[in-house]
Amino acid sequence: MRTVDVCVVGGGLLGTATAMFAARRGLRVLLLEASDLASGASGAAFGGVSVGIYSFSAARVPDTYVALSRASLALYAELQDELGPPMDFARPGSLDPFYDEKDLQSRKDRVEGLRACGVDCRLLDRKEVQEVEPAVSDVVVGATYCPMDGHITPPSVTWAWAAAARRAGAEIRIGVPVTGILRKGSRVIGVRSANEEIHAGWVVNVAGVGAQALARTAGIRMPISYSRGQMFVTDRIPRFLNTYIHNIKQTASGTVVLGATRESGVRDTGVTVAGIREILGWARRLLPALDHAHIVRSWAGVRMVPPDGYPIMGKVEDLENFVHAVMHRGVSLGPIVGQLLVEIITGQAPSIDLHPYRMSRFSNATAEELGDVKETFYAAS
Amino acid sequence: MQAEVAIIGGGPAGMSAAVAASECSAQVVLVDEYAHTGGQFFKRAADQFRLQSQQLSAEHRAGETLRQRVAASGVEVLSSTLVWSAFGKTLMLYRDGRSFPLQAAAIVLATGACDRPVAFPGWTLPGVMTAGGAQTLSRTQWVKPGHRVLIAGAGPFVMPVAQQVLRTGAEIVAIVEATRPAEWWRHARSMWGQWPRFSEAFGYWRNLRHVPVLYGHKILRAFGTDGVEAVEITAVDRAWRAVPGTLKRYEVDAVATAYGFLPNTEAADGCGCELLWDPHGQAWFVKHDAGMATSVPGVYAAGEITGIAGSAVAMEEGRIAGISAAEYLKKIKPAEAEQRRRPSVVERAHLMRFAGALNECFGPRPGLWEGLEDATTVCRCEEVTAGDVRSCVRAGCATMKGIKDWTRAGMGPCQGRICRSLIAQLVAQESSTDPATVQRPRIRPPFKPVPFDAMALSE
Amino acid sequence: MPQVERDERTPQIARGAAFTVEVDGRALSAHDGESVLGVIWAAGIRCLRRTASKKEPRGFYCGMGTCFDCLVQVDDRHNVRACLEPARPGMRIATRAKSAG
Repeated sequence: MRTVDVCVVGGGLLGTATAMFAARRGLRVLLLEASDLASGASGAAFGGVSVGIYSFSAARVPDTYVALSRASLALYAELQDELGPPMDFARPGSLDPFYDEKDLQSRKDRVEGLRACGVDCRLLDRKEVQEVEPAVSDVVVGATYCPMDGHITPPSVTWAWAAAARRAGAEIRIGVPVTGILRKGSRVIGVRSANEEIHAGWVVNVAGVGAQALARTAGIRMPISYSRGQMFVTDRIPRFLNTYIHNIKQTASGTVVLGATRESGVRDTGVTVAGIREILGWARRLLPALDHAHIVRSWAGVRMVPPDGYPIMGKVEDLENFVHAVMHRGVSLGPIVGQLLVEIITGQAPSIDLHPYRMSRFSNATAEELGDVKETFYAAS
Repeated sequence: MQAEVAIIGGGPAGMSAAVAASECSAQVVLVDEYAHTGGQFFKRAADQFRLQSQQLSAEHRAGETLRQRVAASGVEVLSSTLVWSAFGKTLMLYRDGRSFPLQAAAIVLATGACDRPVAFPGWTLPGVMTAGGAQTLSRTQWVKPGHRVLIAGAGPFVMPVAQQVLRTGAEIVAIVEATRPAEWWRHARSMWGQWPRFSEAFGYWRNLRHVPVLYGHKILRAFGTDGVEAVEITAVDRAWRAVPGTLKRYEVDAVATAYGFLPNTEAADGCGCELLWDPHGQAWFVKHDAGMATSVPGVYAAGEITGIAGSAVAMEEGRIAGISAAEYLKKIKPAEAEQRRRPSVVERAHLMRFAGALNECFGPRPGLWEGLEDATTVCRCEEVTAGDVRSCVRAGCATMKGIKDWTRAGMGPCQGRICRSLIAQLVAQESSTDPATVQRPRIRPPFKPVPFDAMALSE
Repeated sequence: MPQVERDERTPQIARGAAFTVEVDGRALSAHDGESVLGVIWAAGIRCLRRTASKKEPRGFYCGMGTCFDCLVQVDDRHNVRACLEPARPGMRIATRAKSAG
């Protein structure tokens, strides 16, 4: 019978961040991943690390959520300094364009709210957008501009954090699906995989697409919807983008990554002609220079979307020795989530208040009832 | 656009399938990426070259005969057309700046093979090419690959390539054959009855009799600054492992490697067909039955993607596949289909004995993947070295996906076509496993790069 | 008249109609039916591009459109496979183009 201090279930950005921070605190950590590291959303995400871009249609973003994003961005910068090239954290700033005059007021409110939180963020009109980003066509009405935003390549960061976790003493095992959480009354005592039972001081459910099913084995009902995002990448073309646009970026090597569709309820990771037309059609209207490129590859990932769009994370009411984290913006929030979960595990008060992210805020809804997302998300226009 | 039978690939297998299906009254559309049909086996100079008959290769005549049959058959041929995806049996095509669907009721995959990439220090230098590449330059362009050419490989493909290179006026400084004649006698029985092969071989031997041949040697490394200037070859043991202290150096300006072929299975994979690992060929081939049906109903495979066996087998398999596709569409009854297939099935079985023996005798051996120093490039597109891959595996990352995520190997325009097999061998070496267990990446659209505007406006 | 320093073409082969293409600003002879790679290689040019990070020289490898090593710029199109691209009169071809690779 194995015993560890912390068993992390899920080998994406959230899992490897948690394992890295926990191992650095001297804890005996075991991370179990069903398939391969970054094989879920972390392997298919666009990679935006931003304080300025949010997919909620509601104009004002809660201050606490902005603070969470800022803390995460700061941690990314620290990790970049420490881990170097594998992090590949570029910070060219972000542009979030809009295409309809009707959206102007809500954008003004958004920017105002962000600035009130101390975020360097501006609303640009078309002319100003084209000064920052000459390649953008006249199809934009304006854009939110956040010079401090950046992006990563999520799968390679996942591997970099896994390597750092290993160096700090964590054990990472891939190809090991976790089939159940072990409970003794109101205490979680470990997990069960195909071959064995592992006893752990704490269990962390960051299993992404598998989180909901895993939670159920402990009697936890987690309301989550799923949304597919199809993405594309081009061959190398001469540099023409200065920032990253929501969601188009030109990588250091010159390739352009484009995404992503938002297909509610779709859990399959195939790419469709409709997805191709939607994303590429939008992208070439926005950036006509793309017509000189070739599309080299496509892929799709499934995102987890809690009912109100904000993360579910922290402890679960009436359950000991267990924490979880499931969210849509796992890339932006990866490091801070890892840090916060480890703070809980080591008995500290979390440095950021996690009350807004408690799962019990959905106590009136069952997983089945909460199939739809309540807030509408921006669709790529 | 609609087709009863859509054929992907215009080489000997594809053309034969087209004719056979058409003879069974199917409406056939043949899609080929190249400007001229013939694939690799029957590649030829463009019509604008006005070649005299003595300048034409034997393959040229075979290819022309087949082309004429295709032209006479009423098959619609779409040349310079790329199949970039398959959604069920709807193929997405790109041609002339436009992307459009081809809805097929049955599909025959005949996408052929490419030369096996063989990595060694200096293999990325200009002037180092595959034997197929040397043959393309020689036969279709009539341009010398270099003035002093060295050809290194294993097996009979070296001979037609060497002959064609000589005809361009280049000098071949040596042919470097990995096997030794003593090893061939084991397979002598399988060559019984294969008289056309003997006369072919005799023809090559006659034309190449002045070219120095070294048996039991392989290429070790290439040198040069802006292009290849010299190579080192080494004697090898039966596993093609270098024998120390047997280096020979040649001053060259072109090197062609001929160590077998890898099937182009991306389209088959993209259609959902099951693939099988072949240990002799160290490659994944399309699984098929006696009627050339794949694991996907209505999808057939023929030619090198089912096994490396040469153009004669490709043509028989093409016929079988074309007939089976027509039978699937109920154009002909099963009894008639059996009757039509029979001669090809028999001929194929006869030819496969020889082809099988060639694969056993000249198939890749472990030493082929030993020359990989840490600094040797394995992913040409993304400049990832063997050392990068080894570090990755030692740090705990031993899956193709993980290596791709960490090093970017396989993310370039060729999408792993060149590096995938090399990386699988490296991973197998580092983690003491079989390359067959290294998981293949999922094939996604586009199968090859497609211009942005065309793809965006896909119909 | 195009200035050709080398011509690696096999003599005694009757080719299609002659014209010129521009390669890196130089006029090179070409014939109808030749590929861009054929024209470049016949002129003795060996380096078609330099790789993005290590700036290594590349020529061609597979010659059949599979390896994407032989990428050149043709007119305003980037990353064109020279081995598959037919040479046409007036083409402007750039080797070692910044985008390629």
